[in-house]
Amino acid sequence: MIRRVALSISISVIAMLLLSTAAVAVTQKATIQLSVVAAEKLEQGYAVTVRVRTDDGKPVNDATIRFYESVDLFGAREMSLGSATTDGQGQATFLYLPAQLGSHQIVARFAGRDQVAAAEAETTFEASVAAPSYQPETVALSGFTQVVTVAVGIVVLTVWALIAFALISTARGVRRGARDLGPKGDLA
Amino acid sequence: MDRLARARYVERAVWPIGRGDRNFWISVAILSLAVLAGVYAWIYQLRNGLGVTGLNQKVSWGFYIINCVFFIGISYGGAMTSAILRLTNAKWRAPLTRIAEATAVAALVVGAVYPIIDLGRPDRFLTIPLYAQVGSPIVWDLVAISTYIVASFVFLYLPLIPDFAVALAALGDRSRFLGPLYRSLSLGWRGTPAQEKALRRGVGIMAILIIPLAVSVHSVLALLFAVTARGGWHSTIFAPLFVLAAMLSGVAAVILVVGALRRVYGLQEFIAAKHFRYLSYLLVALGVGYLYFMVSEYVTEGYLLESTTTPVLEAIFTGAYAPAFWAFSVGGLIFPLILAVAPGRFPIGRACIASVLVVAGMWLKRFLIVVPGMAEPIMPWDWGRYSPTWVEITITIGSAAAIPLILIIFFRFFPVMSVHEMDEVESAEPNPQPRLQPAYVGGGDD
Repeated sequence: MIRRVALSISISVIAMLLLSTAAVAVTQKATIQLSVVAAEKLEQGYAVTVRVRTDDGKPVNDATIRFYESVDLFGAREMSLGSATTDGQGQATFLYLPAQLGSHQIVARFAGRDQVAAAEAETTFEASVAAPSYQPETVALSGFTQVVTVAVGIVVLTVWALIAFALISTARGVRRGARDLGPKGDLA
Repeated sequence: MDRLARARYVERAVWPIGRGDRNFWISVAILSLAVLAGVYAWIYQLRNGLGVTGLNQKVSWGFYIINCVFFIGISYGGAMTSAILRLTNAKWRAPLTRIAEATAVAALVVGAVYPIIDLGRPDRFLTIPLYAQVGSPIVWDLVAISTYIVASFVFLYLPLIPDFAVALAALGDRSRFLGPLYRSLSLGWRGTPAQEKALRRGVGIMAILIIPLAVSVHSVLALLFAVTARGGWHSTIFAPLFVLAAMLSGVAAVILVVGALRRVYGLQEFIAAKHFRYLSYLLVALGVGYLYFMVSEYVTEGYLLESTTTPVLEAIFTGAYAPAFWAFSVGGLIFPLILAVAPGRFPIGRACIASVLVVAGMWLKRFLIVVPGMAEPIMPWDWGRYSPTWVEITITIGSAAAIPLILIIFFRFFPVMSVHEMDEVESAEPNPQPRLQPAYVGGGDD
């Protein structure tokens, strides 16, 4: 009797171990298809679309995909652009308006979750549309203050001119007065 | 003025030139030691960085900025005193103007060094002109101070032109070494009408220019504070308050310098009690004006009690800085003004004591503007503390000693009183009456 119980327990444990191994074995690889196309509206820039599927072709829904751009800022690094969540078709779209024209390398990354492994993809596209350059808001009285700055500058130059005039005209006047009197004039 | 009196005046004016008795050398040695100690402390700071000072993240303006405002203020008072006396054609000005102008230049040279000391790295001073941001008050501060320095030197030099010629003649053999210098600097002065006219025009222009220039320097200095969002600084009347403070401390410093040189160089015959009484009146008028502005500022800020100003006012009136504030208000402002203007004996002594108190009080006032404004919090966690180290104290003492050192060295080479100005005042007397003493001499006791 005891032997039977021990045997059944052993079988159960082995079965559980086998089952758990099987559960690990069902974690599937995922692949990300990444594409970049122009957005519907020009000012929206580009639609960065990902399609996440498992190896057997099933879509991965509710997966958070994070988007990055490879940049060279004090060395190569990734600049976070944002994130999007896949729908029932395993598809997510992220609108991106680059700051600069030219080549952009985009990375889409899925961190993985139960039974679906992490995945990433990258692509490069040429941006012909970019965000307009930053234009600071016009500060109140800015036109006036510019005029004031110029006016103060003119006043400063005038003061310097007056100082120079006082010094030079006095020196010239005194020298000329000395010459007019001749070498034997009396001291004051 | 008769020939004898004029001769005595000239003799006294050029007396210090080339002379050096034991007291002179002792004074030079003591003052030089103090200046050298200050220079050593600065070099120590340059080698070890601003960390050797009490300046910190919260209180980044300490003794250096206080001293900058203070010394430039003194300079302002000297220049203003001379310019106002010239423009108003005050008859009693002749023995005072040279001393006031020299004090202005000496204090200005010392005060203008302080922003460079405060930078920690003097080479970074070049950043201001090289990358000038015209919207910043500090750029205009540099422009105003540099213009004022040049103007002060010109304002000191022009009235000296005829005195070089007078000194050349009066010194005789003593001018053996200084003769060539005097000859070139006097530009061949002989007192011809054309020369007088040229000189009068030049000095007149400078006397008119120096007043708005000095006002602009202190207004821009005040703007550095007023446009900063710190408690107690963001005030619309800071500029006139700074200008009045500068004039007040400057006139007090002029009284002190005049009092000291009068005794040291034996000028009692020419600088009399009358001069000190008039300067005391000027001191009191400025002091009352300053008191009015100060009360007006505190009443306005105290009535509103904005969140940034309240901690500053609390600290000043009843908190950590209350002893300094009340010492300044009573001992450095109200009492000395009463002392200076009260009738009675010893007007010269009283004027000098009052001036010492005013000068010390105005330094304290600058401390009360700079330090509590930075130390008291704008945000609840923003508290700061400031304790000056030996480096800042030594540099302060050294710079304070530099002013009398510059003055006694200057007057060892140049006449201490303006002879030409005296001649001008005497010749302009509208209704010359026979009198026992010339116009410049005043009665009264010492």
